[in-house]
Amino acid sequence: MGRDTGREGEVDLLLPFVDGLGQGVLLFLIASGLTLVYGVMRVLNFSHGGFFMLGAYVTFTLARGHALPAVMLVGVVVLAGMATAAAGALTERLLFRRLYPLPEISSLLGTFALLLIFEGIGRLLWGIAPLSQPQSPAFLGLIRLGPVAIPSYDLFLYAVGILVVVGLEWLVEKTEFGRMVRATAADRATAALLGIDVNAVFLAMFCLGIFLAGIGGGLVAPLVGLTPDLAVSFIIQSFAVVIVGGLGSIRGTLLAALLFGLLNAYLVALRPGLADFSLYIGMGLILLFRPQGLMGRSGSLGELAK
Amino acid sequence: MRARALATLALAAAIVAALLLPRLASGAQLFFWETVLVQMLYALSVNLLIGHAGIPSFGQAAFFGVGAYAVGLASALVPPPLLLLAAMLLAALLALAVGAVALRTHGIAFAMVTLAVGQALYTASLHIPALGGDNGLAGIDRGSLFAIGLGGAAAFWYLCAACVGLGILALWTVHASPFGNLLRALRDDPLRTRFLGIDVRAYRLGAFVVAGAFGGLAGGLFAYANQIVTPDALAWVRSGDPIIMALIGGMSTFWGPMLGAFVYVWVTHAFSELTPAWILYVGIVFLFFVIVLPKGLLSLLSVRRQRSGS
Amino acid sequence: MSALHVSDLVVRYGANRALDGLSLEVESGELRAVIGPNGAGKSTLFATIAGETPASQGRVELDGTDITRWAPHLRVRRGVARAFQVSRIFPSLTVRENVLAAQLCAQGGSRVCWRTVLGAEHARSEAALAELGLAHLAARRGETLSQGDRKRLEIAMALQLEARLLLLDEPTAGMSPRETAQTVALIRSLWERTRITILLTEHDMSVVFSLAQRITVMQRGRVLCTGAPEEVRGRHDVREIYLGRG
Repeated sequence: MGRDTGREGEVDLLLPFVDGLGQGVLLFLIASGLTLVYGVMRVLNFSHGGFFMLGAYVTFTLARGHALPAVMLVGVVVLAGMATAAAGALTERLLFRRLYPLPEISSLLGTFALLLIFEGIGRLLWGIAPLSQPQSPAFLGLIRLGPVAIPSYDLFLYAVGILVVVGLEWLVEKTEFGRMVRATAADRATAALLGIDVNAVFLAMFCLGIFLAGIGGGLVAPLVGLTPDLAVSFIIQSFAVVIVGGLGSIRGTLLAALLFGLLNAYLVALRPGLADFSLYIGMGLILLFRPQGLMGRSGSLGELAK
Repeated sequence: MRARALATLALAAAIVAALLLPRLASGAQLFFWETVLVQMLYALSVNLLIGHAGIPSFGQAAFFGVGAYAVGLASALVPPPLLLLAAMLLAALLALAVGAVALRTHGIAFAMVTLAVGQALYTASLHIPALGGDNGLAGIDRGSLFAIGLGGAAAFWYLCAACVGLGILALWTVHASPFGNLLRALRDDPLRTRFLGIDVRAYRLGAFVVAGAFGGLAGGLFAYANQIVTPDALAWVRSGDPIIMALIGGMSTFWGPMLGAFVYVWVTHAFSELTPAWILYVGIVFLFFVIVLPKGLLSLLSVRRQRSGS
Repeated sequence: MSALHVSDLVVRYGANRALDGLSLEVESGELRAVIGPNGAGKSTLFATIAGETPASQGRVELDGTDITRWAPHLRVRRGVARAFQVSRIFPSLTVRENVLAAQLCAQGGSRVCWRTVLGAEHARSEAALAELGLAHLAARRGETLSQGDRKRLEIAMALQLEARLLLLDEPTAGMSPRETAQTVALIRSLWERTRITILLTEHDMSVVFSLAQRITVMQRGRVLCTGAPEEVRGRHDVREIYLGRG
């Protein structure tokens, strides 16, 4: 937004692309945690956005609102992610464990209540006035790749995105831990009989999902004004992403997140009036034409009926 | 039969109290009770969906807000009863359109979609200049009915109480009707209901539209009572409020949400004056009910009755 | 005219054919059992007749009307009632309310939402409860019933629909010998009294041979043979299926 655009029309259309991919990565970080937790525990976590908000605020607090060198900013973001994950572990032990056996509607209400609590904590600790975390100077520049100048922060976000996607795929598909996760997701009773510590798997997956949300919050912090309602605005965005991507699918989530990022960036560039509605437009179209989501097995949403 | 006599007595007491209240209460107290009544109606409409039909709608603010903005836009042109009817109709039409698409999903996905619909309208209210953006629409004219001005606190109280009373009566009728009974069956087991010959989606859509209409009525009354509408009427918290109320009172009963609405309005009234983080305490209370008392306050009463009965 | 006429029915799940050109005719008022080894396609057949599973090919006719493409609830209104293998009743409603719900469904007038449920409807559901020996359980919630009582209630609900064809999928599955005997007696007395057409599947051969007028044997999505119980019992190929495959 408001960045110096190139001289030629072609470059004008490339810039939203560059920007949109970066936004897409941020969306993916948040939404992938939601999908992971749902895929294994079968709990839709309304409060996921609250953890995201926490990640953003903790980053701000650790940086004390100063512009940090790039390396330090990254370190602070990772620290914020770990702090958020620790908060996640606590809530998993205290709260979510009680929600798993309840009917779906109760677990929806329970995590919804938690979202309210997060917004309240945000107001209590950081107030309702917007706070702004200055961007690291190193991330303000442009890096020229052939004909395109890419903002260095976007390039950094791409790298984070690739790292997370590859890391998750490796973890779930290739490792012993991943095998346990897949077994637990498929049938937790059988997994328990096979000697898998289902509670430990739940805790680990929950922390991983929340860690990603916390990192996402930390990475968004330099880009937006921080207010407590980040919690709800980002949970709605990630809902849209997982619905479009197909709940429970990591690749679908990635695809949907990138599509939403691009849609939003192009609308900002071409039809600014509609930009705030890009989520709802995308979601409406998907519901009309492909209710099971982009990558969802047919009926993967239908499965959720009961 | 004793229950029937008790119900008649309660109804008579409610009517007498409604008639006398403007003589006994101050303006601020009257406004408090108007808010309670409006929230009672709103909570009942949401509970028809979530508690009885098992449809997890998290975007009821869409219909509440549409009703409120309808009143905000046309209060100078149309007398209150007509405008409230129009608000209901508008909300019902919106519910029909939203439901027709959103009910292609169910359960969790439906919850997410309805939340997004509410938020889409909230965003729209900020962007559409005719709706006044952040400031909303102020100076709502309460107009007059049969040449009686409704600007006065007492006159408006009677209109509000009458509308809410009629609304509750209508929702009770739906609750006790074959349709209402089948909604509860459908919540228990959609598949069984389908194989008893019920078009499950049509019934869900029916419930969604009825709930939308009465949500719209509640929103319209809310706008008249406050004489201003802001995007707050569409905010996501507004969708959560009635769910919390229903839960506090008891979702499986018809009357629970009314009790819950009273408790909730009273408590938030007290807390929001004390701290801007009142939402935190609301969340904690909400969570307490989900985990410890999921059947709500009314269930305490019936447990005691059963114990003393046996 | 036959009550149910299924012709050349094919149901594919991916590359698998759960039903592979199956044809079946059931006379009006008949009590027919469908048997066959696991995976023969019995449950798929029932789900397809009820409308839960779409047919890839072929026809399903009820009293001469082609219902192949009908939605499930429309089939029910036309007279197809169904009891599931694991009884499906409304767990949080009382037994009385379960029956009442079925009656309201049967009226189709259930769409009326401006009148309350009438006294006459309550009286009719009481009568139905008494008839099926459920009166003493009327105030119990569905989820508290035993397997046998659940099945009894589910059949009671199906009867409220005034169905012409009753599909019973493994009616005695998971029941104790005593419950099984009671359920068999219930089905027989019900059939003798109403002469409703019944199609049932069952693993328990003693149930099948004590109830069915005629038996259809299925194998790999097709009909192997149909005949009277003695006839089927005597056939070599039927024995082979059961002995050869356990």
